[in-house]
Amino acid sequence: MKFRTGDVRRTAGALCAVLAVAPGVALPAVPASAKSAAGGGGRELVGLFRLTPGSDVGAQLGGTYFRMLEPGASPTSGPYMKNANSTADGGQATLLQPGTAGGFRTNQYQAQPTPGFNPGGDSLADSITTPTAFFGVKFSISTNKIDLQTKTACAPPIVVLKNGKLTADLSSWAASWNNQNFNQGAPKPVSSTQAKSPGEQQAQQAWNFFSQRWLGAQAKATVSGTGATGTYDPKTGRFVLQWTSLIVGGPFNGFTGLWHLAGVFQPSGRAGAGS
Amino acid sequence: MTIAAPPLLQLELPCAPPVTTTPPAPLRRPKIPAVGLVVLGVLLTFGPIVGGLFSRTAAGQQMIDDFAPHMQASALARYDDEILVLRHAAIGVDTVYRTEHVAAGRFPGLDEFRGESRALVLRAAGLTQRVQATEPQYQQVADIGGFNRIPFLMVACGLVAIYCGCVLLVGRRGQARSVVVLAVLAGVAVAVYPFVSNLSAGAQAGQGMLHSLAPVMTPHEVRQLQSDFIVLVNTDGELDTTFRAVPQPGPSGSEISALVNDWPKLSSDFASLVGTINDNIGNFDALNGLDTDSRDLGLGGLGAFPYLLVGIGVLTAGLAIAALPRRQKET
Repeated sequence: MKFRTGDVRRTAGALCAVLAVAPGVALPAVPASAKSAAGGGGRELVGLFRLTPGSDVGAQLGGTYFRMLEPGASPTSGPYMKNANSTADGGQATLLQPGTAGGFRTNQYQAQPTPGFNPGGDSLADSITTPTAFFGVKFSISTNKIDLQTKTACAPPIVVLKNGKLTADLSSWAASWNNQNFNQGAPKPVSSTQAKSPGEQQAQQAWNFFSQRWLGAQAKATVSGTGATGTYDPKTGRFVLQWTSLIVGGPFNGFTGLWHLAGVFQPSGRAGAGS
Repeated sequence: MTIAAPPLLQLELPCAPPVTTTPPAPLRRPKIPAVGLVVLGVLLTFGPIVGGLFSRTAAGQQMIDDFAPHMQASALARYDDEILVLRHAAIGVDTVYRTEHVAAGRFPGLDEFRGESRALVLRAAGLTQRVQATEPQYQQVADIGGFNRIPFLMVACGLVAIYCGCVLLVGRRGQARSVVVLAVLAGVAVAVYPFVSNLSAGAQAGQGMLHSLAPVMTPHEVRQLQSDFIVLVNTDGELDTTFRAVPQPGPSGSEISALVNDWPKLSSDFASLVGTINDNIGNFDALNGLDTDSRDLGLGGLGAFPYLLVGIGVLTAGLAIAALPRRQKET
């Protein structure tokens, strides 16, 4: 049997082409980079949103606190899950204390440390809020470039003031509890954890680059839903931000977190990019 | 002086017979096997794409990877211990309620736990037993090398078969042998894959694993487990706070303390397992769909995959060899 160099080269080339193209054949196009939902004009507030500790005085909740709703509950009327470690509103709210940074910073990430948990499952993220007991285990907050649950690239916190109202992209807001991470952002990052064939991600990236650069395709949104909203007093710097965030996936799939942040905004005087 | 040579005699030689060579028999291109090779190639190339084989095998691989931490011997042993802690704590709470005459309604979380503890512990035990029973099959499936690359292998073989079939039908005859060798190699690669990748054993185990996990891989089951988890967190919350005011003497106190002390680990394991089940319902359905769809097509389900691949490989190689051009026999 004789082989001709040219034939072998051609057939090998064909085989290589098959292997190179095959991974992309069945794959849908994919999301691009993170996109802020808090656009559309207004003035961006860059700096530290210093949190006021949560309080429960005379059945009136104030400051910074969190509620958790079981599937089907109403964000306004509950019923809310009762945290046995909290006495606020009969346990239906969990009061939060500011962390070592005093609160959350815009245009920066305050990422979860490594390791994220102690052996007992308590969260070790202590920059934004102090880890707080929730059903016997401490939870806390971080903001991460790549969301820990959805694995999606998220914008750093962005807060925009427009006509006296605040709108915020807090898609990177993540709660950590008992060795579990839950995205609690608003808007919600679109999950990037779906199963992928070998090479699919690279093929998607290549296609996104090609389609956006030469076909004029828009980058797919990596978030969905609305951002947090609130109020701001320019004289005192006092702010309130509130939002609800559905837990998608994981052990608490279908549960909802309600976040109420209050405090004082301290501008940093610079508008840097996320670190 | 000159010597005159006598003139040469003219020889009269007989005519040599004509040299005759038998013309070679013309090369024949067997068309049927070559067309068969093209058809097989088209099926192999587009079948996995149309049938969603890429996404389904990727889903299966992700499910296998996600369950890995829960299938470790240490985790399985821990689940047993934790069920025991739950069972004893339920008995301990009941005993304290009785001996201390705890009024109903004083501890709503514990009241609910007492009402549901038997069923709850049974469900938790059933879940862990199911996971434990699936572990040997899971390990065999996890040992399959490159499960999510099977579609690539099939498509690559299909494209090679199309190329070779076309060359054998209309290409230069000089290329025939090399493309046949290529097709045979592709066929052999597909046929041998089940044996070198452990697919031959893993596919049968995978079918068993799907059957075994089916009752727990449902949204309803996840909701039930979530509901049980809420009962447990409320139970631990009261045991760790307000219920401490109630005297808990003797073994009952120890059993209750064991639950409170083990709660972080127990709840973490429970939450992690429930989260893994929830996040893999779609993956399970995809893999299960592959099994049922292939069964519906008469391909025998996941367990028949190794035979299917061997068949594909042998057929590819056989058709390629049969399609090799050859001289017609003299009659």
